[in-house]
Amino acid sequence: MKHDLWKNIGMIAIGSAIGTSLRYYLNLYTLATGYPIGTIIENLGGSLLLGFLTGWFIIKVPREWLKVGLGVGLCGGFTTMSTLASDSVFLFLEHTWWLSALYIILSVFGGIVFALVGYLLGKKVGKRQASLEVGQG
Amino acid sequence: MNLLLVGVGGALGAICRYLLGLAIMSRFPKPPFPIAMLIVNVLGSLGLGLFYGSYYGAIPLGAYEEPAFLLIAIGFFGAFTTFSTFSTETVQLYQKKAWKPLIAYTSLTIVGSITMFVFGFSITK
Repeated sequence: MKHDLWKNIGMIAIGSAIGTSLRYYLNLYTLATGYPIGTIIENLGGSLLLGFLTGWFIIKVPREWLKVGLGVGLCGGFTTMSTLASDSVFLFLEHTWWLSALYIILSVFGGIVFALVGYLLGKKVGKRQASLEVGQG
Repeated sequence: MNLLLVGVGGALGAICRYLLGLAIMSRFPKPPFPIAMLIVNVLGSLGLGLFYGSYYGAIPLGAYEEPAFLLIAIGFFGAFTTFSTFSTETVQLYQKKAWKPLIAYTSLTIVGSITMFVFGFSITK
């Protein structure tokens, strides 16, 4: 158990280092727009991926280290809530209140819809995979 | 060098999120909604507000060459908090048709994170 915890922590560290680096690059490339477009892409994309993995892993249960490495590490590191908070305050102070509201609504509703679409897709893929394996057995 | 700062901060942030999440879940094994990530996200937003207020006295947009910004803001607090777990947990509440917990979880997370960021920022600015 203790051994597993260290293994999980190691995989989370690697996953998050990759996810955070990707977030850094996306932010950097969208910096010239002056708007937090990078964070929107990251939060929606990461929601789609984690939704997909969650749906898939319900059907095809993976090893714990793989699950936490991809979910807690990669998706968790790629997406962020603290930047969402600071971005929405930044937009409110430097631009207009409605731009800030638009950003929040787009992130929250978009993120939930993307996670739902990913979840349903992941479940479908898992089920198809499981039925193929039954067919072969 | 920049990538190393971002990667190390990100790895540490996610490890802290994982361990704090486990600790909260062992103390509250059956919460009405995912309380662990709510606490993590609100705490992390408070932390980022404290950092921005004390270090910059402003919300920096383009500090992408600054080591402290990369390590602490993009790296640590960026990865300590998470959006994908928030949206996926909301989907799971939706699947269970747990409407009240869903409303409570989403609104407390968003309002709580923004409010605590503003709080941290304004007391240190």
